[in-house]
Amino acid sequence: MSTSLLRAVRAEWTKLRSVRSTGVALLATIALTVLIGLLTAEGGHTSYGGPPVVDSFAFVHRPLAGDGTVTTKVAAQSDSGPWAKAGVMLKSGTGGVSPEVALMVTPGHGIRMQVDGKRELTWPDGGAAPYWLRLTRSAHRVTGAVSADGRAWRTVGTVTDGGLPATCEAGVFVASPDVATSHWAGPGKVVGAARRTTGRAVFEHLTAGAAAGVDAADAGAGGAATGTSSGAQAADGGWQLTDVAQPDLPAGPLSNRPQTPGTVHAGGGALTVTGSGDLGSLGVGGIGTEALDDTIASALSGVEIALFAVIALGVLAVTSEYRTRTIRTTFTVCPRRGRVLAAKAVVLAAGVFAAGLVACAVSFVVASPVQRRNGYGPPLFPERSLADPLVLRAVVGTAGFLALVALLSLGVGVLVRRTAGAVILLFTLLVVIPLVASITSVGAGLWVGRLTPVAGAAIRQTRPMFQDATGPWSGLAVLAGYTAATLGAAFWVQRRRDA
Amino acid sequence: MTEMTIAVSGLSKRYGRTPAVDALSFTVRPGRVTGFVGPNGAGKSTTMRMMMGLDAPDAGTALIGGLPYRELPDPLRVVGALLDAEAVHPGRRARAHLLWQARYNGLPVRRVDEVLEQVGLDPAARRRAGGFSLGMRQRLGIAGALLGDPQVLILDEPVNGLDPEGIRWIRGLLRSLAAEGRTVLVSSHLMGELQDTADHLIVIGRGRLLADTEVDELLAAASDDRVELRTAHRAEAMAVLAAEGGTVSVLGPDALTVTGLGAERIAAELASHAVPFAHLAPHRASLEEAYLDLTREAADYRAHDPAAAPAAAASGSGSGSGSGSDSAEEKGR
Repeated sequence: MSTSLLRAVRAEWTKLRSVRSTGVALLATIALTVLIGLLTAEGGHTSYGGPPVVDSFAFVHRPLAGDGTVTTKVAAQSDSGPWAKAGVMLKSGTGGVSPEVALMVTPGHGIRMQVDGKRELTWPDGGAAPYWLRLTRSAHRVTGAVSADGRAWRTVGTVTDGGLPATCEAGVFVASPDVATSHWAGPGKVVGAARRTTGRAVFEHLTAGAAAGVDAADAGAGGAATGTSSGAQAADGGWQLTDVAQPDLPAGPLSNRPQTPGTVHAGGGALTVTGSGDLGSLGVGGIGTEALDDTIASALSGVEIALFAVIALGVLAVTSEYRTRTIRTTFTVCPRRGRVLAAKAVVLAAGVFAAGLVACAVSFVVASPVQRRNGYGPPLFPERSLADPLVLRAVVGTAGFLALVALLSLGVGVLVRRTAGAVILLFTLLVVIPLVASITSVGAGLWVGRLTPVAGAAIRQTRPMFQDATGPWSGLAVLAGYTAATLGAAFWVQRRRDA
Repeated sequence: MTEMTIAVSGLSKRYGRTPAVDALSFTVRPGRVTGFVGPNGAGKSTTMRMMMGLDAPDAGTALIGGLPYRELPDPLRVVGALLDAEAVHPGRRARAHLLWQARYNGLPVRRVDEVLEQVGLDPAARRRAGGFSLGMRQRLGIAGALLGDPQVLILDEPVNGLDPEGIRWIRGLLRSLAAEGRTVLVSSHLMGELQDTADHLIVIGRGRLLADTEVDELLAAASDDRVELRTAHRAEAMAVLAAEGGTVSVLGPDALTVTGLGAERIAAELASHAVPFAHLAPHRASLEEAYLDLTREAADYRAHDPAAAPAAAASGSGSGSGSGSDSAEEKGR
């Protein structure tokens, strides 16, 4: 910053802090954010109604005695949902919720390795079909390895084979969980539902045997191996399809319906398997995420109300000068009007950002225990501290959102010059239009949340939800774009206009 | 240091179809107080705003020390201005109002306390400006103008709202600033306010220059050969003097002014016709009269325009009342 801009910033800071309304607006920002965050936490209860461990999928398997490996290339996987799963597995039998080790690809969440559906290892480099997967059982340990080409293998992790019997079932599996959907059922009424999906994957070079790469019993090569689970037919090479079923299903909207039966087709050296279901547990393998609340975003929901104070502050920073005509004093003291606007922007953004940071941090800290008391606990809702990167991003980003709204208000204030007009315009833009759109139709609500400045509020989202209009960063970028354009217009108009 | 003159040249500004300032040219020199006079709505404030770079002229230039205001690096160190005493945020304390101005131009905080003391506001430094009287706001505005110890001062109606003690104070201040060699431009719609203050006058009406003259010259011209006469026999005196070719006008119930006849001749004529009189002396015109003479032309012109007639009557008379309305309208634009 040049000396003269630094002076201008100090001057505008003196100006801003020397009127009472500034302190009032900043305190209101903090108080409203914390209060509404707390009220939201008090009123919220977790709504997940599924079983704690999910274990149902189409399993194509054959017995494996003692140590050995199972290897395949997942040549293709249909994108029936981000959490659809296809991969290799060692399992104690064919009953649901029995000991197992699985290594899988997913369309949306990379490569994952699961132990009994309760522990999960992830592969940091991502990866999706086509990909080679291998599980090796050796001396009571199971090692998962992956390869992009079938030659260079890298280890995902090694776990104890704990509950696996001496002879276990080895093979490939396909699962595809229900996808939550919503549709508009009338003004202000959105109905959520679960849609059954069927996953499909093509496995090539499937081998299972005593030693890696030695038993090259290519599944499809031997002949036809076609069937459905109902017959549980034995295919060539001894491969058999079983629909592993969830045992004791509790009542719940998402999981108490019968599973779609799986199928297997062999041909051209490959097995094509379809299946539905899922494997994992709350917080593992994406189980429950569709029905989850975003507790961090909800702890910060007060900023939607605190917006009022921020808009007032941003607008008044300049319209009060036009009302009292001190703008003329300002422009005689500093005839470089762009510098005046830049200094106002710096001071306002810094002040609102600091207040927003306090507001969001305090909100999160006071709302979290209340949320835990209302059932939002691990494993679905892991306890997170302020220093957790996800929380930090939401807190800092939301403070940035408030600062951007303040700058947008400043720009509108310069253009409109009158407090009432500017405030009404901004309220309409940031509060009324989103509200009216959301009670009018889901589509309108989504587009407003995507394309108007209110998109910036998405920065506090920390987990994808079906009702999200936009992603956190893309939303903030939309707001930043509007703010930059408005400030640019304000700069241009202010320089040409008589003060 | 270059001579800090204010040079206005061909300055024009119109609002819609109405010219507010019309090809105005004049120069304000250092070392004296220059009065900037004209009726309300004559274009004084608009001219001053253009000098300060607030309004863009349609044509012409206003240079301060050879530079347009907008190009002055730290303007408060060169030009101090009071354009609108009411332009203060009511919630801000007097000291903070000056502090932010000082910060913009890198002036030391000590200057804020110095000027507050200079204008006599130091006891009110921590009070919010919303509770200030107009007189106190004028002092606060003048404090702002003095903040950068500038060579040039531009003050728009600084006497407005001041009590008699305040008026005496500001006259002394203006005279001492000029005596220090500064360039001082003071506007007023009341000529009388400048009677004992201004050395030089720039008179405008309807956006045009009417006079650019020394105060002494203007007074001499307005006084010309007028003679003031007091007599209880006004009617007889008027008849006698008119018959001798004098122009007689009535000043009051027992006072007349006579033009065209010397004092000695008047005394002789009245004596020969046995008209008694109490007082006979050359008339010293007031600045107010001189100003009325100058603006009469503009006022006459307005009187022919029926719509503008009431305004002309009010402003042309130069009466002390109703000072606010016109200038407030102009400032609010």
